[in-house]
Amino acid sequence: MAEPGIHEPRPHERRRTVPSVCGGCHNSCRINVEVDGDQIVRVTGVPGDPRTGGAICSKGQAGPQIAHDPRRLLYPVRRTGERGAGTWERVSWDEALRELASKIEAAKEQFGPTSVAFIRGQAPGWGFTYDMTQRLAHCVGTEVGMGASECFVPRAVAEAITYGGMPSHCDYANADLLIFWGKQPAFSCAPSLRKIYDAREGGAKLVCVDPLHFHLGATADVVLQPEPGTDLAMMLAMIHTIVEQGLWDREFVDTYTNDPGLKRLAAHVRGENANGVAYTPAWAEEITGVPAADIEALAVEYATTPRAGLVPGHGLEGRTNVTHTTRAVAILRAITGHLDRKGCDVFTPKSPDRNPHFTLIDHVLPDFEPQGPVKMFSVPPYNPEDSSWPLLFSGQGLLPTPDVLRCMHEGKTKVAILQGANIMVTQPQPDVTRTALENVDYLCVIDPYLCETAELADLVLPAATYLERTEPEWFKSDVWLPILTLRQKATTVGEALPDTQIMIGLGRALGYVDEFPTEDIVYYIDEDLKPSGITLKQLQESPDGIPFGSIAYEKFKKDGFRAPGGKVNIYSEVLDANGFPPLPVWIEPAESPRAEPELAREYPFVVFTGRSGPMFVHEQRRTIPWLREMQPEPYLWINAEVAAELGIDEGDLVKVSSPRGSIEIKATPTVIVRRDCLYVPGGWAGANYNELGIDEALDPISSQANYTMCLGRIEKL
Amino acid sequence: MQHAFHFNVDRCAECFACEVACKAEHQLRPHAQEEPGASGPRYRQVVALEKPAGDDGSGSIQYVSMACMHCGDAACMSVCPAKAIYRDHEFGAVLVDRSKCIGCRYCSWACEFGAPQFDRDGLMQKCDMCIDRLRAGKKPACVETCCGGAITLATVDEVEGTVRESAARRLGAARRLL
Repeated sequence: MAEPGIHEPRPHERRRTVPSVCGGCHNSCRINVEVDGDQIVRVTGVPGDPRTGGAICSKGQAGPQIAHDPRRLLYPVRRTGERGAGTWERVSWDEALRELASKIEAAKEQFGPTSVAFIRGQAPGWGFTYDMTQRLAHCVGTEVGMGASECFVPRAVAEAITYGGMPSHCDYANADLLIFWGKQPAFSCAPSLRKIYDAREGGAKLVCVDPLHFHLGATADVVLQPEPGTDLAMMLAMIHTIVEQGLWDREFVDTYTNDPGLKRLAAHVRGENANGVAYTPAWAEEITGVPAADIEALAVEYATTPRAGLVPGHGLEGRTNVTHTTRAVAILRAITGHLDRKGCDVFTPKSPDRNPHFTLIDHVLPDFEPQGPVKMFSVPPYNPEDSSWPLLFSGQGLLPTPDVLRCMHEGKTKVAILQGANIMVTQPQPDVTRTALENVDYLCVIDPYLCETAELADLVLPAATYLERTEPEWFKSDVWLPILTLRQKATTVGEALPDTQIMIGLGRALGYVDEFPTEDIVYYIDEDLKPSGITLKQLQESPDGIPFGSIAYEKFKKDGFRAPGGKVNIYSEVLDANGFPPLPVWIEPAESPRAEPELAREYPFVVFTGRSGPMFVHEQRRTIPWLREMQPEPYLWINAEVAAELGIDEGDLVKVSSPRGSIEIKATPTVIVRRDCLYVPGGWAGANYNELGIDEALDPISSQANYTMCLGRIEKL
Repeated sequence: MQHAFHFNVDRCAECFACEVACKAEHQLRPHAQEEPGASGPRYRQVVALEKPAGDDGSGSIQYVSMACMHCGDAACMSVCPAKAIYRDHEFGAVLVDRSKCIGCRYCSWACEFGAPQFDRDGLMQKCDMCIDRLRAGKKPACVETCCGGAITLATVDEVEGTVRESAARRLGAARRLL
């Protein structure tokens, strides 16, 4: 299957540089891809780029090895033996898509359209490519399942219901105080480090709140290490301090929030809450282990520094209190007047205006009436029938992972198509995931590799990496500038195809010729971007990208906030209307030492997980030699003094157990972890934290599983 | 003019971009075909240094990105029996002529920084200051890529000036905070 519309190099262009956009993680940095014939030889940053300044991270530079990894799957394969036996035969794209289409049609006919599941992971990206998957899913009459339960969507929802969006553009250049909370730029947006350190050299103070004292924390002015999962208690105590000391921004609160005078919030933090306690710093010290004086000092410093940014990250996710934690972040910003102002966290448009009909919502909602163009986090509010979480609509119409897995367990899902989602490694309790997948009649996996999840499939389709795809990109994870950029295909590897092209091919194989009238991606890009007035041709002619908005401070003075009443909802009307606590209350993470004191006697450590290092993304890139060289094997971080007490030395093999399972892993004693914690980096299939992690405890508001921390114990082998 | 790398420890968050930039620029092993976990020469390496916990209970960690120091008085150069190591006069880079190297490894014993590296051919190789890029008017790959802006290359005089300047700036910032 060819890809019409995409520029194929002519012979005289053998050596060339393709301006493109990285897709190695979520941050979508601009890159230059140097190509010799069909070989990518180098990936470099783009000097002068306003987001990166020309820097590019380790993952980005490993592009040549990522595209040309000899371990990739190069053509479609169909299983020949039992499922999971690992025996495959090569099939053509036409044959593969015909087979998949016939399975989808049969399931649809016999069990209805929602028996077909489309499940998305990170690898194909979240912008235009997600719209393409939705377009096909809606044609079939079903919804896209996505990792809402394990990613930042709960944070996006909590911020959306508070003030209408995420202020994901911290104004580093003008800040005097920067608080990174559960966020390590080295992992998720390394090129931002230049801006951060520039601010620091200009006199800004740097604070890191992270259970691990590492990376940015190594040189930060202040490092606070709360027990994993207890950040919310610390934030509530900061709010308490700000209220008690009268440090809140009266003008902003009285004019722009729905709690003038902070009457409700003040009473709440002083003890009129479901916990029946005053959220004092002393109370928070008991829970977090962070000294009350340090919590109070941070609260005072944040409230009294007019230009201050609070940058939260993935570290706040993966526990059942994620929604309240994020609401507390939002409230801290609001009551101190640090929203959308110079040197603070600023709102920027997150995507260009897109065509509300592009994803064909009317195929699943016949009476759908668009209210105008679609933007990122501003999509038509509706919930798929199988969704158990009514507030997730702003994550662009999706079925969260717990519902996806439930439908599989219940036998409701007959055909599942997984795109760049290696859920056998990334989901808590792999055995539970395996049972769910085995319960599906027909499983198709679209992935660059015959990954652990693909091993269980009936059909595996080779996905192109981001270096082999052409698509507009607006998604970013930091310094979210309103500039639309173009990822451009730099090479072709084997028969691998972009996910978008596979959706088109499958749509046509299913006979949706009105919806997929051509294989030419140009048509789809231009259709989706129509209301913005931007075309693929213009993007191809604009290597610096095309702006779809500008950076401005204090937009609320004119526009208010896109939340109920047009004000910042300190008191959340949306949560209230849905039967949830309207002000953040303290919720113990599942299985904390306080939630499970009996269990904690047997399992005395908090075992937690997170990113495994700046060179990897989730479970990806373990096969890339340049990256793997810097972290050849999984490791367990244990406090050096505790290790000495237990007789554990560097490199000793240890067994780490939780009430659900155990792993064997090499120990690395270190000063960066607390005495009461053990850290297992995420994403290693061989020593997988998810064997220990909790799959059943879910945040009732957002569906997020408590998958990043649990109780555990360690023994030397 | 003798050039030198300057590494600002306050601007490093251990992102490893410099290591891969160096690998990519010099096309160093491990190559894509090799087993994941294989290792090759590392001209530049980010190392983590831990300070054990003191009486106050908290230890600390620092990251240092190290490559050849291109020493003014290079020990490797003086011990090399084959006279394979020489100095480039334009930038002061300490370079190795691999056609003369006999693989005796004296240089690696003499170097205090672990700069000399050896691959399967047994001959010495190391950071060459990206001399080809310098001659083409470009910065070394690690400098251009460094996400934190921690690594710079400049003349020895300029580097000294930078160190003094940043110390003065920090003093000024500290005074503002007081």
